[in-house]
Amino acid sequence: MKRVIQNVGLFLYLLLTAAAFLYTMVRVRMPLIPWRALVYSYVMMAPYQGYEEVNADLYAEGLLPTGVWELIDLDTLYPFVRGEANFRRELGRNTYPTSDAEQATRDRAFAMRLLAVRHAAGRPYVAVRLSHDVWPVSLESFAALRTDLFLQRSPMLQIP
Amino acid sequence: MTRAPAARWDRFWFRLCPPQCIALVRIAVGAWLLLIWTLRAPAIALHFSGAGLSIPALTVRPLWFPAFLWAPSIPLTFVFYGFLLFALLCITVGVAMRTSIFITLFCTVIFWNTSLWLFWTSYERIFVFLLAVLLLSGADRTFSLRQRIRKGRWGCAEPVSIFAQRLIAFQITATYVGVGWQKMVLPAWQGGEVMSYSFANRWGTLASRWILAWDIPMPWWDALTLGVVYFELLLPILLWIPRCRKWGILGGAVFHIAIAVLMQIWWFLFLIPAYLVFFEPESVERWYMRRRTSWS
Repeated sequence: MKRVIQNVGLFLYLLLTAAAFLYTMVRVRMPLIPWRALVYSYVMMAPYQGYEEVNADLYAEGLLPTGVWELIDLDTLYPFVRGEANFRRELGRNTYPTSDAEQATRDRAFAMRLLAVRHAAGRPYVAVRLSHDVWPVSLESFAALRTDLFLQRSPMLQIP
Repeated sequence: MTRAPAARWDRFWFRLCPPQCIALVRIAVGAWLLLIWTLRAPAIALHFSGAGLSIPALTVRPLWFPAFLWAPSIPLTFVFYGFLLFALLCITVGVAMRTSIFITLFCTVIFWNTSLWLFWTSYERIFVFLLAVLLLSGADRTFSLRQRIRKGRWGCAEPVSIFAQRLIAFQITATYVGVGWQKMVLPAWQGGEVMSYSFANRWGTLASRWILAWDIPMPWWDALTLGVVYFELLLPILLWIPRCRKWGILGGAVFHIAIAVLMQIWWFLFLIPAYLVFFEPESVERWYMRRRTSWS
């Protein structure tokens, strides 16, 4: 009986892996395979698929009661190596692409959390706004060309 | 005639074998996860609690997900974090392994929900797979505190099923072949730009920028990219063939160390000790016995 259960488990695992492999190669979904399980197996075969020709990052500011917008240093809030910190600040854009409306909901929820975290740290912001920065890569460093001359800043949202 | 393939199938996937190989994998996985989660300590409150920057991954709380775990408070998050570290330590030293794996998987679900939108990539899924497989492996049947307590010796060995070891080897194979194949067909991997830009973008390091400063002509980057793709396809073949295995291990080690040094992506270094699963467990036991004799 134990051997039967083991063989059934093995068969299901091999079937799932084969389905994920098929999806990997030709983007064809095998019928009857649950989508979540397929994606799980597929992602185990899918590290580092693309690259960026420009650098990008989130830009956050908090509005003080005096009416001045203050830069929020996101690096201090992301104690990871730079690539990972930058990846996390995409808020799932590349890892979990979704509809614009759902992404906007995620972004808004993040901005609310950021406001709450900065309040807890003693910064009396009355609003938070997020922008998306894009700038060219350079040999010097990641942020070397994040300057007024090369930077493109696109407003994303402001809360409240 | 009809039983021979079935017997070979059984022997390959389910035979009883010495436990040293899977035990060493258990130690490597436990220690590596312990290191990763220890390094995350400064980020626990900010990125894994309900009071931090993360938002629950599930937009609607399922009935099976208790409310107090949905977006846990900072103190509760640190309680989970403490349990997680302790469980990983137990996995590493080989005591209460199954309970510890359950605790680790439980904490992973909690932290997955609070940080999914921020980081939930290939290696984290592979780790969950490894833990699930180790759950059924008997990997604590040697080199473990369990054996020290029960049998009086850390190295006392009891046979285990080879099933877990084969599953891990198969998954590593699938990962390399899948990754290699995708890179063969993905538009982004059809030229050397992917390598040169990866050395300069967010993943770039001082070492990779130093190499970029050599101003290497693009055909060399093309060749490097092609080399990476074919190497990823070739690596599992090298690992499965005993005569080529040492070259596979050497190549895989150089490959993953280079990725860590040049692109900050160091999490996959755990695959180097995990290559042990490609050895036959009997040969690992013989190697260990010879070493033990020479040590004693």
